[in-house]
Amino acid sequence: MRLTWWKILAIVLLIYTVIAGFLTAVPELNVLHQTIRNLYFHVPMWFAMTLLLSTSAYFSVKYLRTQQAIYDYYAVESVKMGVVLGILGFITGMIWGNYTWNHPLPPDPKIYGAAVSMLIYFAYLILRGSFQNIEQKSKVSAIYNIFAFATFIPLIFILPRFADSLHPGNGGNPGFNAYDLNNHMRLIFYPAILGWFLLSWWIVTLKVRIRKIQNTLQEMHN
Amino acid sequence: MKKSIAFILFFLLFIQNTQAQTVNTTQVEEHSFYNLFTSQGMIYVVVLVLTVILLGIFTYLFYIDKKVAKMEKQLKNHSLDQHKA
Repeated sequence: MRLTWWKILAIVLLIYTVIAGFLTAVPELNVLHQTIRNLYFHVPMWFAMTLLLSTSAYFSVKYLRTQQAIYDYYAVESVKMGVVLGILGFITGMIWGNYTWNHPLPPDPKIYGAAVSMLIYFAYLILRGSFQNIEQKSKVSAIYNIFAFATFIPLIFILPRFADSLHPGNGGNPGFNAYDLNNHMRLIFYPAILGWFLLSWWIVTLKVRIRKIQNTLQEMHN
Repeated sequence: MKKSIAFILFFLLFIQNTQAQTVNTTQVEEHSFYNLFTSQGMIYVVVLVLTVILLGIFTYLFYIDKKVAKMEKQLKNHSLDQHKA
């Protein structure tokens, strides 16, 4: 068991998020009421997913430069974990929207951007599955990953701001700053992002270690 | 492990059942667990449930991490033995 400082930090931050997220006072706003506490769970998952996908793009670039398999492992496992977070974020967003916007999937640019980004990364996983040769698989998927990330950022962050959106901070709505009337929510929001990212990174490192073991076992049998 | 989870769940059931009865204030103490958990709209029950879920996930992660570390150690020893031989 590799007991590192950041694993312990992940546990501490997430337990802090859960306890403080429910017990501290939040601004009483009209449509949201207590669901504004979702800001500690739904939103940090999306932020953690963005961080994970950016690290995945970084490892894809590293793989293309050095051709070392370990970077390919990190790239693919980061995308897999990012996709898991994205699906969870999508479902929790639908639940939240169903009771605040009165519709689980309204015609909203950010939701469309998120859905298209999910499809792009699903296609990445399918692309990997279509290759037999490991080196070809790694190279082509690394190139695709970089393009996928370059498309993901505008879809999620830039385009929704120009369109009429329901999401806070986009399309003429006041941003998160308008909700956080006395800055107390930031005290839990930022640690929550870090906690979710560290938890996801723990899972990614575990899966990479398992891949390395499988690789070594395969080499031993050959 | 399973016994402690069962105990906690049983404890929560107990809280929900007694909520229906009228509480005799002379018998219930001022600062009991029951009073704490049923105050503030029973939010503490939610906090406890989520903390238990989180701790369960972390326990599972620790378990997998230990297993993977053991496999890595076995492989390292195996390859060292092979080099020695």
